Amino acid sequence: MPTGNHETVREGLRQHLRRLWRYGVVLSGSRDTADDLVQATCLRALERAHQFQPGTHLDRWLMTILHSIWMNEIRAARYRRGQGLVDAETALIFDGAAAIETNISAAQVLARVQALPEAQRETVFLVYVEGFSYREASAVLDVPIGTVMSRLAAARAKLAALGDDAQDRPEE
Amino acid sequence: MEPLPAPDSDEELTAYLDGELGSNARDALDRRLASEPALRARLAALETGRPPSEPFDILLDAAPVERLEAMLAATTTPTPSRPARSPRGVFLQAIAAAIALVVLGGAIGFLLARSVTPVNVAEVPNWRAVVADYVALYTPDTFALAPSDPEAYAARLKALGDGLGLALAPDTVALPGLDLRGALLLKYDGKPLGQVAYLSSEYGPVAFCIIRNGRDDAPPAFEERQGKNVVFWNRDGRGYLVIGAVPRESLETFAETLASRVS
Repeated sequence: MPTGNHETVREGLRQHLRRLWRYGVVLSGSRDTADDLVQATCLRALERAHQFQPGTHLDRWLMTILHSIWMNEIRAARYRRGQGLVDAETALIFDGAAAIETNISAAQVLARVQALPEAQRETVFLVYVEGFSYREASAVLDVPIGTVMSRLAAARAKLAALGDDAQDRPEE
Repeated sequence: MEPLPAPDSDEELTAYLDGELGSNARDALDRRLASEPALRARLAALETGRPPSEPFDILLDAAPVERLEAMLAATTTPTPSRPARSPRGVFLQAIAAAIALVVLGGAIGFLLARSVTPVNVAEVPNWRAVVADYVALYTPDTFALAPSDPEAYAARLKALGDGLGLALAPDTVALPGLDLRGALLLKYDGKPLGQVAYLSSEYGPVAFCIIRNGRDDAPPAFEERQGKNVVFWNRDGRGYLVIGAVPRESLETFAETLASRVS
C-alpha cells in the first residue's frame, strides 16, 4: 500500500473529524452512532488509502465513505432491528443544549432541518451547510444530479412554508 | 445525461438560487423573472427556504474531539517502512478485514463455503467459513491494547444483543480463563452477525459469534476450520459458534456455558 496516500488520508481524517462526526449526527440523529460512523470511516479510509486520488477533495472522499457505511451497514441494521430512525426526530437538539437555549432560532433551524425526510435532510446538509456543489453532493450520495436538485427544491419549499415567521431573508 | 429541470419548476428556481443553472437556462429564467411577478414571488419564497449554516456549528462544537482523535490515533495500519506490524495495527486491520469480509462477503463467503468447507456442506454453513476466515487473522497481539475491563464492553454488548434480539452483558458472555476483549455487530448476507472476542493467555484469541439466520434448532457440533476448532449450534432462529485454537473438550465446555446463559 503506498504510504504517501496513507499519511495524506490520516492527516485528512484528523483535520475533518469534527465535520465527519457532524455528518454522522445529521444522518443518524445519534451521537453514539456518529462515533461509530467516524470510527468505521477512519478504518475504511485508511484501509483504502491507496484508492484516494491525490489532488481531489479528501473531505468529499471521506464523506462518501461515511455515507456508504451509513446506508449499507448501520442504517440498514437499525431498520432491520425495527429501531428505525425514531431518535433522529429529537436528536439534533440533544447536544449543545446550553448553546441552544441561548439561541432559539438556531434550535429552530436545526429542528426544522432534522424534521425533513432523511434524503432531503442530508442533501440540504451537504449543499447548504458543507457547501458542496450539486455534482459533489450527487457523488457523495450516489444519486443523479437531478435527484439532488429535486430534494433541495422540496426541502426549500417545505422550509419556506414553515419559516415565514422566523426567517426574514432579503430578496435580491 | 442529467435531466434538466422543467422550466419554472421549483427545481429550476432552486438551481438558479444555488448558482447551479447553466448560463443559457439562467439567462432565459432571468428574462422570464423580469416580466413575471408570480415567478419572482415563488423564487423569493424558495429563497427563504434555504437554512442558514451557522446553527450547524453547534454540532461541530459538540463533537467529542478528544475521543475522536484518540480513536484515530489508535487506528494504525502497517506501512512498508514498518513491516513488523504493531499490535494496534493488526487489531484494527483485522477488524477492518472482518468488516470488509463480512459485509462484502456474500459472494466470498459463498465461494469459501463451496470451495473450502470440507464437511457438512449440505447445510450451507457459509457464515462459519467467513467467520473462520477472519478469525484466522487474529493473533495474541491482536487484542493486546483493547480494554481489559469487561465493563468497558457493556454498552457494545447491549447494542450487539439488541441487534440480535438477545440480552447480552459482560456477565452473560464471560468464560473462565478468558478475558473479554471486544464486541462487534457486523452483518453477513443481510443478517446481523455479532462477534464477542476474548483473549486467553493459554489459547490466544477466541471468538463467540451469533447470527440471526432463522434456521432450525441444531445441537452442538464440532468441526475444524482454518486450523482452529469450532463448536456450533442453532437455537431459536440463531446460529452460534465458538472458535479458537482451544482443545475440543475445553471449547465444548465454553459452548455449553454460553448456550446455558445466552438465549
